[in-house]
This record gives sequence, structure tokens and C-alpha cells, in this order.
Amino acid sequence: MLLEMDQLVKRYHHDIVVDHLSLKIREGEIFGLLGPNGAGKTTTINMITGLSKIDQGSIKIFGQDLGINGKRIKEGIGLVPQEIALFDDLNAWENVAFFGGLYGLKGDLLKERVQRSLKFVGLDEHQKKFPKKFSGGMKRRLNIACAIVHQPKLIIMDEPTVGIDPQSRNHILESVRALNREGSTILYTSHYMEEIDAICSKIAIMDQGRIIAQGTSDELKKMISSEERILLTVSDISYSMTEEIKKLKGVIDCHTKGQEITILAKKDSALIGQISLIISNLGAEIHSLQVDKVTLESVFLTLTGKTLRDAE
Amino acid sequence: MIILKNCFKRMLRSKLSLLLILVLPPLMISLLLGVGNNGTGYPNVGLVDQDESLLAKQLKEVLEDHASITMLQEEEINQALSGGRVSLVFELEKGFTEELINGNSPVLHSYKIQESNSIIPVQLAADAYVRAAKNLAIMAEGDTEVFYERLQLYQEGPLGLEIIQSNGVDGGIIERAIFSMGILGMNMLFLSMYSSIHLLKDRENRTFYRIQTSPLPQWNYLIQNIVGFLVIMLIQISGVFFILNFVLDLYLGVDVPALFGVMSVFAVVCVAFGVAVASLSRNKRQAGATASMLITPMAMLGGMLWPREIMPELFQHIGIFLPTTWLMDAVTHVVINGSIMAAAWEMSILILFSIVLFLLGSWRKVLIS
Repeated sequence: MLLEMDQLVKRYHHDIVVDHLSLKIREGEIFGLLGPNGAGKTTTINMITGLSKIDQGSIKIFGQDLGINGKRIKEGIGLVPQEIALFDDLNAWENVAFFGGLYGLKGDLLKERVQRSLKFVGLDEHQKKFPKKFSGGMKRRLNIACAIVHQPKLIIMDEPTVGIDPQSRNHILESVRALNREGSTILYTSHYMEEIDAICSKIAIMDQGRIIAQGTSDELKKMISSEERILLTVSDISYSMTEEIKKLKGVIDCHTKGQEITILAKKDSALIGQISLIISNLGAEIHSLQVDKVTLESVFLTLTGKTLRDAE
Repeated sequence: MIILKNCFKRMLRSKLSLLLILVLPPLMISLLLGVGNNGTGYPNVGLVDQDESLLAKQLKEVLEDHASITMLQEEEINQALSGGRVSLVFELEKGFTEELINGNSPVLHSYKIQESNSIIPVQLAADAYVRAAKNLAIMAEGDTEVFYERLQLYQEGPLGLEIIQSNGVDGGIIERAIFSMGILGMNMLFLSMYSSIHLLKDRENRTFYRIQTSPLPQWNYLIQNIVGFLVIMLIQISGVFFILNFVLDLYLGVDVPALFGVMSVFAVVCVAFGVAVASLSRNKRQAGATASMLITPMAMLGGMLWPREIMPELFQHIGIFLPTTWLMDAVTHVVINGSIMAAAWEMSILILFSIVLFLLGSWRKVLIS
């Protein structure tokens, strides 16, 4: 195992932010960590990178205990923080060189690695420019270059594609795949399910400080393959309507938002007819009806009871 | 050393910091000295000698190098001062020398109505002479003959006041040297705020947290920055000394390296002050507000902009709790006595200030973590 967390606990005053979390990441994986805001993802990352102290449990990285060999372990980790962390008064080349220097790189090796990192993220032609002249996407890419200059074995990417254009996002996702092909193990967190689904070989879903499910994308989808999500747009939603629907056999959950009703139910062809009957009996009209196939989003919804965008 | 290099690169690249480091202090000093050149003439000083000792006679000789001395009786003091005949009166009570030789600390009383720049060197000269006499009396262990012998040697010695006068240095020049160090000290305090902002910038742009995820320990980051700020401040002092000495041709006392030493100790205080402000401020704006709230009053109360003696007693007492006061005292002693040892006590206090300020900076750091 490249990274092993065992019964990890982090408390802030009386709140448990990370609650007996155990997780294993194998070498060569792109591991996706999914969870709403406040799920404890960033706190977990902070503990892995040594920014937060561990209250209970242990973390082993590269087979070594983080509490004992922290300095050596840190040499093999590269963090791409959620917020852009660059020096405004240093140009792109100097920013990357600074972070390379922190990991002991110097002389020709440093120059070569800086050049390579900037080329990798497509900024080699902008190396003399200062970050304030960069677009959001370019800053994100420079943020990545600073994290990979020392060629870490483990790269932790905390929401690296937030607020950027599709072109830069694609570039970053391609970069993640390329880094993985070159031998780096990647821990990737994102709000974008499709990103996680597209690039991660293994996924863990985190909520309220705990891992509530983990596996490959297919394994997670199989967990709820006997269920389906029915989305209805109705003219006049009432409390009694949702209560009646919830009473139907096979309905797991039913909640409303505006004119929309979202129903999570066991697969049953007769159920849609029964739901339509309840709605028409209550004098409302169905404007649209959609039965969703299983996606990572529906897995997340099933397990946490909320969508990621709601959680944002 | 990467943090240190980065610190130099970022601070020296900015035109604003270069202006603050090298251009502003000599510019301010030359402008203010040009304005403040008036009123440093030869003052009239009265002396009431009830002691009638050899020491009193020698004190009169010393004072005559700084002022025109008029001998007065005790009952004439008020009239002479209010009538403007003299600006300052010293009174040596009967038995002053005897008490001094016996190892006590008699007081040399001084009277004045209004503070003026011209009487400061006279006061300083009297103060230095009496202090030296007290030390000699302690060494003489009550032996009058030994005491006067040593006092004679002191007056003729290389560290005495005579050497200053033999160089043709008048009180106004000494005063200007002290004043210029005050202006430099104030600029150093402002530069320390630049250090605070530099540290806070790292926190605001999140690079500080990113650095913490690297193998570099947090203490190492702080030490390298502190060394960087200190070196930049020493560059400032060197640059300003060079400009004052060789370009503006300003007299900086007989022992310029000693004065440089005092300013270097104050540089440590300034860096510690910057680190403490950075730790206690949430952002750059707050640090800026703290700077304007603290530095100017510190400079005023510490006697960097004008002599402390012209302020009400309450303000003078408040000044005791400020490093600026101790810097100005140290500068005064070194400029007048020409020896760094003359300011040993003041420098110890300055070092104490820097320790307290560094502790304050690290205390907040512990809270953050």
C-alpha cells in the first residue's frame, strides 16, 4: 500500500470532523475522494500533508509512519491545494523553481525539472510572465507545476479544476492521466462527478467524516443497480402528495425542490403508474417524467441523501 | 537557504522597498536637518556653585566648551531664567563632591523654563561628566586624592569629552548626529512593517501553507525570513551611514562603528517588532493600521523627532516602556562618549525588547497551529 489511513480521528473542539476513517490507496492508482463540503476531505488531506495534527489513529505513507518519518515522507508528496498558492511577485519560472528548491533541487537539475514541469502543464512559453497576468486556468496549471516539480510519488489534488474553462479542465485531466502513466499515485478530490468517473480507478465516498462506500466506479454503481431515480415535474406539489408517494411499496426516499419531485425507489415497472395515479387524484398535472440510469451522482445521492451541488 | 534567497529577491525587486530602504532615510535626514538647523547657537548657562570644590571648577570648564557660563547665587536663579539672561541653570549643592567621593549619588540640579535644542548638548555634557565622576569615585573608594588624580586623567584621556572638543565638534553637530539616527530609527521601524506585510502576504496567498507541506520545518522558514529582514536592515543602515558620512558629510561621533553597532541592535528589535505585528495581525490591512497607530507615537515618545525633555513628564515616563527611547539614549551616549560600552545598559534593554517581541510573535504562531 502506498497510503494507509487507520482509524483516523480529528476533532475541532467538540466536533468530530474525521471520524475513525480508514482508507488504503495502492501504488499507481488514481484515487477519487468524493464528498460534500464539510465532509472532512480537506481535513483528511491536511493530516496527510502534515498541516493538521492527528488526534487519533495513524497514517502510513510509502510504508512509513507519518508521525515518525514525516520529513522523509513529505519529500515524496506533492500537494495541489484547492486555493491557488503562488507568489504574485515571482514569475512562473521563479515560482516553480522556489517550490523545487524547497525539496532540495538545485543547479542544472532544478532548471531541467522546472522546464519540464512548465512544459508539462503547457506554460513553457509563459515562464517569464507573472501570475497576475494569467487566466484562472493558467494559474491552476501553474499551481500544478509547482506541486510536481520534484517528481513526487504521491500527488494530492484538492479540487484542481474549480472555476476554470473547459479547455483548461481538459488539459488538467489529461495531465493527471499522464502523471499517473509516469508512475505517480494520485489522490484526487472533486465536486465534479464526471471528472471522478472519467479518471479515477478507485473512488471513496465520504460524508460527515466517514467513508460510507468505496470501490471502482462500476462497483459503486452496482451497489444501487436495483434502484432507480425518478424525476417528475408537477404542477402543484403538496405535502400529502409526497407523503402518499413515500407510503408506496418500493419507495426509498422522496423529496421535493420547487416543482420537482425526486424519488429513489426499487426498480418496479408498476411504481410509475401508482405515482401518476396519486398525483392526478390530488388534482395535479405531470409536466415531465424522467427515469435516470445509475450514475455516480445517483450513487452519491443514494448514500448521502444530498447532491454534491446542494452540498456546495 | 531558498527562503532567504526568495526574501531578498522579493524585497529588493520592489521599487517601493528600495525607496524605503535606501532613498527615504537620507532624504528625510537631509531635509529635516536643513529645516532644523536653526536655534543651535551657543547658549547662556548659569551655574550656582555652593560646593566650591575642584570638581565644580572642572565641571565649569567642561560646560564652557558648550556654553557661555554665568556664575549665579541661588536666589538669582528665578530672575536669571525669567529675564532670559540664561536658558539653563545648574546648581551644585554644598557637599556635592564629598558625597560623590563617599560613594553616594548626589543630584546635579538643573533649572530651565523652556526647552531649546541648543541646551541639550550642555545637559548631555554635564550628565556625562557627573556620571564619569561617580564611576571614578567608586573606584577611588573614598580617597579624595586618588579621585582627583583619576578625574584629571579622565579629562585628558582619549575617551573623555576633550577629544570631542579637540576635533572641533560643537553641540549642534552632536545634536544633528543624534537626530539623524532618530530619523533612521523611525525609517527602520517603517521598514519592519514591510517585513510584516511580506510575512502576511505569504499567509494571504496561501504559499505559507504550501511551504508547510514541504519538508522544510516551520521554524526554519521563520528563521530564514528573520535573517533576510535583518540583512536588508543592515544594508539600509550601511547605506545611510555611507551617505551621511561621505555624501552629506555629517559628523556621526568619534566611534562610528559603535554607533553602527547600536543601530544594528535596534535592527534586531525592528525585525522582532515586524514579526510580532505579522503574528498578531489577521491581514495586511490590519498590519498597516497597526503600523500607523504604533510607529509614529513610538517615534515621538521615544525622542526620535524631538528631544524627550520637551514633552510633559507623563509622556516621558510612558517613553520608558518603548524601545525607541532606549535607542535614542544609547545613540546619545555613544555619540557623546564615543564608546559602545557607554550604551551597554541601553543595548541590554533593547535586546530584552527584541526577546519579548519575538516571544510575542511565536506565541501567536502556537495559537494558530
